[in-house]
Amino acid sequence: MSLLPLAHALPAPEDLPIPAWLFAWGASIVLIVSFFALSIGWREPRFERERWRPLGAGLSRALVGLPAQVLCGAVSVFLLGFTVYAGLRGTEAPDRNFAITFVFITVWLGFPLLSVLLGDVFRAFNPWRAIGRVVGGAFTALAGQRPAHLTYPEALGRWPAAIGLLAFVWLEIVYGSSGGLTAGVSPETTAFAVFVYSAYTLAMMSLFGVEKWCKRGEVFAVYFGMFAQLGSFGVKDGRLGVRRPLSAATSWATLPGSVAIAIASIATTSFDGGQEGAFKDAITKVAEWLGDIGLGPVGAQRLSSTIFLLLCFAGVWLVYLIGVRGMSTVGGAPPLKKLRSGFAHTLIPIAFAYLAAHYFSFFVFQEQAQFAYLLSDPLGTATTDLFGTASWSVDYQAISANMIWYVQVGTLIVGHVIALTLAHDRATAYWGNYRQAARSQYWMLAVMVAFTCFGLYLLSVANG
Amino acid sequence: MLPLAHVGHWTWALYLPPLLIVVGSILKTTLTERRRKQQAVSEDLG
Repeated sequence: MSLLPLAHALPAPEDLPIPAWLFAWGASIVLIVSFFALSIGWREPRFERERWRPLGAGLSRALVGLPAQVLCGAVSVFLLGFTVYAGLRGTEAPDRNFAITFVFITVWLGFPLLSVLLGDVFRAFNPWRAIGRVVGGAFTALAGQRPAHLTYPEALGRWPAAIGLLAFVWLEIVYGSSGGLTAGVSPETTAFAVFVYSAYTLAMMSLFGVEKWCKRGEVFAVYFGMFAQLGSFGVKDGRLGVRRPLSAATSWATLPGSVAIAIASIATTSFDGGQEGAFKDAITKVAEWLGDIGLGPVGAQRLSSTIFLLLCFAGVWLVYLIGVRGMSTVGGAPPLKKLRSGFAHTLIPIAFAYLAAHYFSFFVFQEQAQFAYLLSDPLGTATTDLFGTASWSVDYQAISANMIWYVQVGTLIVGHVIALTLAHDRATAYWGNYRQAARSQYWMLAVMVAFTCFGLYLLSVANG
Repeated sequence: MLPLAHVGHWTWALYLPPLLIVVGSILKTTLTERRRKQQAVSEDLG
């Protein structure tokens, strides 16, 4: 995350008992031990059925009923409007303007966490869905019939959301960074981007229907919804219920483009972790070369970063495909296409682990700003102090550098062990014979070890 | 004379052994299984 210089002002971990690379070895050993434990003790699929059961009717009505939906929708539309207003009317200093921190940290990093813990909460707080539903309801009341929509081309699946995800992250970490050559995404640019995205989303909703677009093309709904599949809470037919954790993920990746979303999430986080660390020299060299052939410095830096972002995307996809291809060589394997989509959900915990590990400290520090001075003085003009917290500052001593490192390592290990478990569970469902299933998972073990070591390498360089 | 000043550029290599060990084990197992299958086929034919 390169919008604010804070992430790179952190001290490096000190006095670690072992070198950083040995943590990668230790994490790999944990994965290998987990793999053998699963091979021995996990002989039947356990996540293929959700075992969803409803919570009390009163609780469900209070949390997901119409009044709650109206309230959440109204709050979200207000925040959307205020973000645009703050971006246009507030200070140009990115760290003092509500718009930047709210969009790129509170929403972008906060909702994945909330989604895992509480379920698909963004569905209630999706401002475009709220607007679309109100407009659709008004149309129905006035015209006496429901609005007619075009048939969504199902072959596209979630690809519009996958491309939108890459575009959003590009705006944030490529356009907004440019190797420090520009000031990053300004609040005004953020407001403009929010406005353009809102217009695009509402247009797509009017063409294909609100719910259809939220499930296929609305970047934030699809992206946060992906993480919600890991948690225990889910809504069915308007009723809130609990299900076996992780089980909803097994049926998530059935639409085209789902693999791309999970891979884009891992790749963009990897790129962001590497652009100021592991990939920095390479990005600079390519930018210099592009400069030599006539591009301006900012353009060259942006193009170079874009190339590396796409290389990360291709690289992560390649590692996953190697794992899938390896599984297909084991006797009794389903067709390659089925394997490719059938194991995509195992990437969701990895995507979450990468996100949590890379942005943990950034989130902790910047949320202090969000709920202190940015709440009291959202425009950053020093003219308001709504809650008396405008003069508060961020406490960088709240967590130590070593604590950050241990959380990062722990998060990556837990995320990959969960991914390994999901993959093993799916293999037992596909192969039937648990020995063959375990044999097929050698390759997914290699994929998990690769992602773990790569993630820890990126973090060690970024922290160093 | 070792180029110690540039040793920091090679720390990424320290993250590779776990992956190489796992991939090496997979390849070894695959080759052993294949050889065993071929032997079984040739014994059946013999």
